[in-house]
Amino acid sequence: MRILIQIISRGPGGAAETQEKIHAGDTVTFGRATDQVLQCNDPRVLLQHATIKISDERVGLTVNSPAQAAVNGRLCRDASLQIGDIVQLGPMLLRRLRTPAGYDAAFSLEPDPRSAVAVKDIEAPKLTLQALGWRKRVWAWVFFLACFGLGLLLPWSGLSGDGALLQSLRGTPLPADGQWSSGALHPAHAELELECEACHAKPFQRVRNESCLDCHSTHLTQHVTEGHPQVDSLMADRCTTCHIEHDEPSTLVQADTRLCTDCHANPAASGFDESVLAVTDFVTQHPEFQVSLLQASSQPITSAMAGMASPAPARLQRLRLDDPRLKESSNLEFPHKVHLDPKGIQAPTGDVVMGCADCHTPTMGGAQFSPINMEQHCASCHRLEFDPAQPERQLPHAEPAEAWRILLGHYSARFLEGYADPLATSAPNRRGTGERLSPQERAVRLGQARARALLVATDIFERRVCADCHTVTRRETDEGPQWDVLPVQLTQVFMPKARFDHASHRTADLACSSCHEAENSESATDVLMPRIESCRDCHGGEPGAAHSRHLVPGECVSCHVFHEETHPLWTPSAKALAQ
Amino acid sequence: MHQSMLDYASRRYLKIALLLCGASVIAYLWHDPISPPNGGTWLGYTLGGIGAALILWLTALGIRKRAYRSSLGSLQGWVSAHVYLGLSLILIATLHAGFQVGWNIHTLAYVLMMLVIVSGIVGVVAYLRFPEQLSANRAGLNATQMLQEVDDLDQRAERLITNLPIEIGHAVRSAREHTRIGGGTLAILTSRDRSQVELPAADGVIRLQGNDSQNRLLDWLGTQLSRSTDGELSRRISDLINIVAARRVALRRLQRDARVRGWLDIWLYFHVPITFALLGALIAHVVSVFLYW
Repeated sequence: MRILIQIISRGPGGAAETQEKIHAGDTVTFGRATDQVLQCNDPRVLLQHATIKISDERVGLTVNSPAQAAVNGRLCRDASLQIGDIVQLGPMLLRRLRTPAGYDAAFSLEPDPRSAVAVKDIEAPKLTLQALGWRKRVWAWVFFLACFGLGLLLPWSGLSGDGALLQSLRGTPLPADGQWSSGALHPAHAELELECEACHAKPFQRVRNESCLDCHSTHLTQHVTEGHPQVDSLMADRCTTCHIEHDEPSTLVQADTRLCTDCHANPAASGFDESVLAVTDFVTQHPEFQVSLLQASSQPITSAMAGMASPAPARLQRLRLDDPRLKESSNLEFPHKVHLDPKGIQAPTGDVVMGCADCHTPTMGGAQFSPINMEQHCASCHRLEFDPAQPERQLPHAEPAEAWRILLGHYSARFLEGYADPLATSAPNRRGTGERLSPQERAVRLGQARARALLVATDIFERRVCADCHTVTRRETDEGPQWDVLPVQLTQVFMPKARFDHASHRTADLACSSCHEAENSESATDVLMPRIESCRDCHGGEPGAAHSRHLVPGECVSCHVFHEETHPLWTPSAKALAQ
Repeated sequence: MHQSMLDYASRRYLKIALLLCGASVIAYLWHDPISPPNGGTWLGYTLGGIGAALILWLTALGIRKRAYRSSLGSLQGWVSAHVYLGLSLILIATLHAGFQVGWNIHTLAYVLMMLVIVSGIVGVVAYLRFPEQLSANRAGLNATQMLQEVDDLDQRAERLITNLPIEIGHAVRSAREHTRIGGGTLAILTSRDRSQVELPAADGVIRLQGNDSQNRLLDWLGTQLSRSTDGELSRRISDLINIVAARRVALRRLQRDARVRGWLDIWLYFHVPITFALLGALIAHVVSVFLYW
C-alpha cells in the first residue's frame, strides 16, 4: 500500500512548510522512538504512542495505553478515522485527507498551535523530598561536627594548660569530659566522679599506681616482702590489674581466682620452695589448712623462794591440720570433754552445765573471741583457797613467789596466835592474848608454821589446785623444795592468713560443734580447728564451676587478702628506677 | 533475570557475615575476662577494631558508588556486602560493649550506629518492594511525561469550557488551581490529596470544598449532565467529564509515583547524615578511650 503523509511545519513567522512522505505498508506508527514511521521528539509522546492500520475497509486508529488521543476532540483509544477527522496526538494534530489517486490513504501531521498556549499558571506540585528542601550533605556535616566537636574537641581543648578551662567547662551545661566515662565509679570513689584528672593524670597514659597511692599510701601493704622472688612480676602489675573501674556492675575488688592462681597454681615456677603447695580452686585443689600454733615456753615460771621471771616468748609453728605432729602445746591441762559434760560439772555452787560461750566470748562485732584468762573464765570454779578455816582467803594467780609468801605469812601469824592446827602432830598450845612468847617459843612456833606452810604448798602446787591445770615440777634445793610451773600460752589466732567471721556463720543450724569437736576432746593438746572438708560442705570454689553449683562461692579473696598486713609498703619506685 | 542484591553471588556476603557473627559469639562465650566483659579486654579491643573497620568500609560505599570507573568489585557486590556486613555490626558492636550502656559518648556512638542500621533496613525493604510498583505505576511514562499528561488534559479542558456555561468553567478552573498533591513530606509518603474546588454549596453560595481525587468535581459535573436537556451541551459536559476523569487518573499516577519515590528516598536522608554523626562520635569514642586510658 502507498500512503501519503504531508508533514507540515511552521516557521518562526507562522509560514507553513509542507514536506511529503510516502510510506509503503499498511501500518503507520507514531511515537517518539526512532523506528516509528512518524517520529515526534516531544516528551508528551510515548515511544510507541499510536498505530494507524489501513485496510480496504477502514482506517483504524489504536492508541497504546497510557497514551491518549482525541478524535475530533473526544478522548478515545480506538477509532475508525473518516476523511476530515482530526486526531490530537500529544502536541500534534493528525488529519485524514482525501485519498489522492495512486494512494491508499493520505494524512497530514502538524503541530497543534494550541499546545503552545500556556494555560498553566500554577506551579508544578512538589512531589520529591528534594523539592521540599530535604538535604543530606549539609546535615551530614552538621551532625559530624556536632558529635566530633562536642564529643571530643571541646573537652580535649579544656585539658590543655592547667585544666582551669576544663573546670569551668564542667560547670556549664556543655558536655565536658564526664561524657567519656564508660560507667559509674565504685561508690567508694564517688567523690572522684567529676575529677577525672585524679586518676587520669596525663592524656594517653594509663592510670599509674602513683595516682592510687596519692590517697592509699598510708594504709596499703604489699603482697610479699621486698626480697620475694616474685617481686619483679608483682611490680609489673598495676593496681588497676585487679581494681578495675568504670565497669558495670561496679566491682572494685576483682574476686576472680585466676588473679591468684596465675602464680599459685604452680608455685615452683614462681620460685617458691616445696613447702608452698599448689592451689587452683577451693574445691578441687587447695591444701589442707595450716595453723599457726604457739609452742608455749618450756622455761618454767620458777616458784617460791627463787622468785618469778616473766615467761619466755612462745615460738610459732606452722602445721597442716593433717600433720601427725599436730599438737597444741599450751602447757595447760584442760579437757574440753569434762567441762562440756551435758550432765554438768561440779562447782562451788553445785553442778553447772557449761557451754562454749561461758569461756569463748565474742569480741565486738563477733568476728573473733576475747582471750581466755584465769580470773575471768576459770576462777569462779577453780578457787585458790588454801585454808579451810578461812575459805575467803585466796592465793594470787600466776605469782608463785607471792603465793608462798602469803602461805608463810598466814601460817606464821596463826601459829604465833596459838592457832589450833587440826593437822598438827603436836598438842595445841593455847595461851591468852597479849601474852608475850619467849624467843625460844617463837622460834619453835615459826618453825611449826613454816613446816605447815610447806605442807600446804606441796598440797596446793602438786596435788590439789595448781596441778589441776598446770604442769608443775618439784625441785629439791638446799633451801627446801621449789615448784616450777610451765607458763600457759594459748594460741589466740590459729589461722592468721585467713579471714573468718564467726558472726556471719552464726546461724540456727550451725552450732559450735558443727566445726569444732570440743565435746570429745580429752586433752588440751587437741587442735580443734575444723579441717578444710567441713568448709567444703557449704563452700564451693570458683562461682559457676560445675563442682561448685549450689554451693556458696569460695573465691580466694573470700578468706585471703592480697595486701598482707605483715608486709609494709616498700616503695617500688626506687627499685624500678634502679632497673 | 533481575537478581536481588540480597541474592548476589549465591549470598556470598550473607555467609561471610554469618561466619563473622558466629565467630564473635563463640569468642564472646568462650572469653571469660577477670572483669565484666567490656571494650577494654583483648576481645573487646578486637571486636571494636573489627567494628570500626567495618563502619569505615561501609561508609566507603558512598565513595565507591560514585566511582563509575572503579574496577574494585561490582557495585552490586558492594551493596550486597554493605547490607549483610552492616547488619552483622549489630552483634559485633553489642558484644564489643559487653552489653554495657550508659549516658556517655560511647553509647551515643552505639545508638547512632543502630539508627543508621535501622534506616538502612528501611532502605533495603524499600528497594526490594518498591521499584516494581514504581514501573508498574508509571506504565512507561517518565516523570516529565506524567506532568505533561496532566498539562495536556488541562489544556483540553480549557478549550472545552469556552463553550460551556460559565459556572462549569469556573468550577473546572478552580479545581485546576486548587489541585494540591504532594507539597509536604507526609502528603508525599501517604499520597494525601488536599485538592479543593469552588462549587456552589447547598445554600447556593460558591465555596471551596474538598476535592480529593477530583471526586467532588466529577460528582457535580455528573449532576450538571443529568440536568442538561440540551443534546449538544450534554455532549460537551460528557467530554469534559472524560477529561476530568482522565486527569484524576493522571494525578493519581503522579501521587503514587511520588509516594514510592519518597519511600525509596527518605531513608537515605537519615542514613547518610546519621552515618556522619556516627563517624564523629566514633572518632570521639576511640580517641577519648585512650585519652583517658
